[in-house]
Amino acid sequence: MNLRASSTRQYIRTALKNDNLRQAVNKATQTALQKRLAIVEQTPNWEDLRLRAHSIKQNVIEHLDEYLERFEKKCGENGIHVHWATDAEEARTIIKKIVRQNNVASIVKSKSLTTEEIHLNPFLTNLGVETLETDLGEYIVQLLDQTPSHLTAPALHLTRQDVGRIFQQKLGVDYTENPHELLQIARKKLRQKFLQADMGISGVNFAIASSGAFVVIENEANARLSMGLPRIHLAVMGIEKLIPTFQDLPLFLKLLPPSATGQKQTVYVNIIGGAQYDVLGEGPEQVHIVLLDNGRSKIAADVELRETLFCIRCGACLNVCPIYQQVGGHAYGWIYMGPIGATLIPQFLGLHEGRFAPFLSSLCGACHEICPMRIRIPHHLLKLRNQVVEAGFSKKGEKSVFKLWAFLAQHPVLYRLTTWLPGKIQIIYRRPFPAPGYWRKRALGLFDSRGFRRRFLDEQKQRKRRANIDQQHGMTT
Amino acid sequence: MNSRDKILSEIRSARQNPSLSATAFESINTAGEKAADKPPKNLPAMVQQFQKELQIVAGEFYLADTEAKAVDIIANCLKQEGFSRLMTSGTPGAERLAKRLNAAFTILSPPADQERKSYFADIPVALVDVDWAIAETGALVIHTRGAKSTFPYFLPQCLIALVRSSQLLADNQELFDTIEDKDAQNTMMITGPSRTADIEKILILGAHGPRRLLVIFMENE
Amino acid sequence: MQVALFIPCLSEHLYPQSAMSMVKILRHIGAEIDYVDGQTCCGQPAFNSGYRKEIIPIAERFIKLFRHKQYVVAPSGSCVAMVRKFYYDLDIHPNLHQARDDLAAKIFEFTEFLVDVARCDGLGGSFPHAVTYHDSCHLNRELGIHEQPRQLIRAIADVQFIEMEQSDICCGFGGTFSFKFADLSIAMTERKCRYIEESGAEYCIGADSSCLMNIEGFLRRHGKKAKTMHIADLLAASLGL
Repeated sequence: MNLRASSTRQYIRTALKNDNLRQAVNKATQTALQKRLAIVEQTPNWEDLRLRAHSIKQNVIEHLDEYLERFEKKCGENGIHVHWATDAEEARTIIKKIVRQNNVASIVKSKSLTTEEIHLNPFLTNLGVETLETDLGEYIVQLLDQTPSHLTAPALHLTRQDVGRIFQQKLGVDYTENPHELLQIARKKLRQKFLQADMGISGVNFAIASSGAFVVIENEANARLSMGLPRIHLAVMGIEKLIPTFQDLPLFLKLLPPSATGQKQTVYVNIIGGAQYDVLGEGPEQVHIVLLDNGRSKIAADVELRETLFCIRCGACLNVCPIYQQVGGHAYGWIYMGPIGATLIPQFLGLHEGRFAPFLSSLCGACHEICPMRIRIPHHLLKLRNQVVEAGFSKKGEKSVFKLWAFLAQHPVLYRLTTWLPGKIQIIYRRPFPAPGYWRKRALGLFDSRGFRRRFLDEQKQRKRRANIDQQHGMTT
Repeated sequence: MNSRDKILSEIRSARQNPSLSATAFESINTAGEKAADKPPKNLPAMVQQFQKELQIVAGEFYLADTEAKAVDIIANCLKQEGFSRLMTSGTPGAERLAKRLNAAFTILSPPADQERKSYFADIPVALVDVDWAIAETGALVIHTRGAKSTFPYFLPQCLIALVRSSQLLADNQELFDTIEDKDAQNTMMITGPSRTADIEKILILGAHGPRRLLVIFMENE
Repeated sequence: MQVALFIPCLSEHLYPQSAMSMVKILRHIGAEIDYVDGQTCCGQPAFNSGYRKEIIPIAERFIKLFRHKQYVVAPSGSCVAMVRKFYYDLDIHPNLHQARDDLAAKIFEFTEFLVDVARCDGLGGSFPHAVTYHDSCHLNRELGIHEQPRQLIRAIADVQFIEMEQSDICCGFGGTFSFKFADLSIAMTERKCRYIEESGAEYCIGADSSCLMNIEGFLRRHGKKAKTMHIADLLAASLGL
């Protein structure tokens, strides 16, 4: 993970030259967008659904303490063990304790960004616990020792040939680029692991405050298997994932799958409210849930920016983002990527570490337009840019330039002079000025040293003169 | 202060800042459209919608007016796939049909212990009952609470589900307005065979779960 | 109908011709033109770069300059969005809040003004060429101006209007973004220009000089046939003004 300006620029340059990557990203995002649109067009009250979901999330975030307490109480009644973690380290410590207490030797995981956020996989591997991702895309990315490049489609940046080579190298199988065969290889490997694993780990899509249950949605059945086979299940959940009641769930189920993958509903909606299957010796004997803060409660303090906690991680803003479409998710340098990632990075990692992310946007607003939760992402990016500047983390010298510019803009005569001058200079030089990067592949826009004001005022004078002449003329005839 | 209290007090201090919603849980009343606002149920239209949605997600739909017809459909599927063994969800409807298939196929009764998972993992096909079906999405709803076996729903390659017309609901909202919280708490919804599109967005059926899902819709029940 | 002109920086210094065309059209529909001398920038470049404190005096000055006008019209969507929407993100002096609200309600983008305020359904005229239209982001998404320019273009008798693929995808300019991430910005511009070229149009029409400058620069550098044209220039040309 590297968020420095130079490395981001370097990454972007490399990505822009990688035609495979750009094609893969482009194809994947366009497919998702088209499928999404087909469903949205069938849903006449889509805008109304967005508004309602927004107001429900607003209510939850603004009363999060009450919702969390209720959730904790209800989980207790259902026999779910609830753990609270202020930060990533505490979450890892909690999980380590559970792993040790229960002699867990192997873990099957279903896709969860929150566990990526706390770097759980390397931590568990270092403890000597075999930890396998089981979502096909995550499995591929894990074999490559990479992080996902999309919120919902982790291996979106790889071609089938890439996957064939990865399987050949890492799993020792014969090379194939047939996606069906590749899936069979992964399924066979992982089925054994599912049956042997002591613990399943998942994230949480929604948690029901009034009932003490959580919801995990997916297509492959890997989450279902990881929740249904091992003797222990553990879910890691950001504290913002709550919704009030089961009666609110249908609304969110209506918004999330279309926005994410263009499905009306995912193949599986798994709802777990306690260890209930033990009668037949099926399913987990213990269910644990780790409530992770890791900066979220601080984000909730900002009346505007708390809206970024409404995110349900659908990835639609990535798919529609003209920047993401060009370079994919790794350019952002962290597990949350794309437009919403650009708002989360400085908030989670701090303004200094994340100072670059809010600027990786042309502020085009396509993200806000598509967001099922109506998060005003460009608005928040602008606010975060301001916070970066106020904290003194903007580029050296930039502040003085803008201060000088602001001074000039309050003094019309001087302001006119500073824009008149380049016009004059350009007439003589006609060469890139003042930003070489910009001009490298674009022709020069030429300053007009006469400007609109001069033209207009001259024209106005002429019109007056003509009007006077006409008048005099009229008087004489 | 422990972490729980730390997090909660942090949130409470965040709440000092102005907020727009007055009380917690206020959205409950606005969440669902009231059942009364909805037009009366039109069962044939709902069945049609269910069939359409199920087929969109690559599920197979069969209509059966008698149990004999249902038995035929199942037997055909098993022959077609070359399966000789079958397991059930152990629930009454599936058990009853399984008995009628007993002559031609082996109906398995799994052990109730730690061997159970590996035992199930090898079985290619399961005949199951469901609790509800959703017309709007083509989903099957199964409450997993209590003494019901869940393995048959996601371990085999092929899942044959029996749906009765009385179980058909219009949409998810009706489902969650109808069922009790304690049932909702342990539920799985299945919409079509398991799938993945993680390699170049190419759709492949049968990821970690079933690659075939047959729904036998029992009209008269 | 009195219209005070708000001429954004790029129009003032790079594209005065387009602003002059706007004046001609406004006169053509019978508006009385008023130019507020002493106007400068609305503050957007600094605002987008995160400098808010620094531009408060600029915004306050702007509000004061235009506060007593009946209508304020500008040939740019993003600059109007700045005044109408983003001035609310600045700590403007409370004494000026009323004036800010008033100004937000009476400042209009050029095509928006023609169609929604002046109730002009179209100006007719003649422009026997194939044209396409680029939706500038702030114009389209912040101000919701999508139909108005199309309506004005379609009203030209002999124009051939072609929608390009993804007319609303960003052209890659984004103000300082185009300097900060020049490579990325250019890749986005390249894509936009590909769509323009594929549409077969001779002219790409736009309502924001910044996007047009960006697109035009790329087209010209790469020897493409398509040209850009501000919608005010198109309307003036079609009427022979």
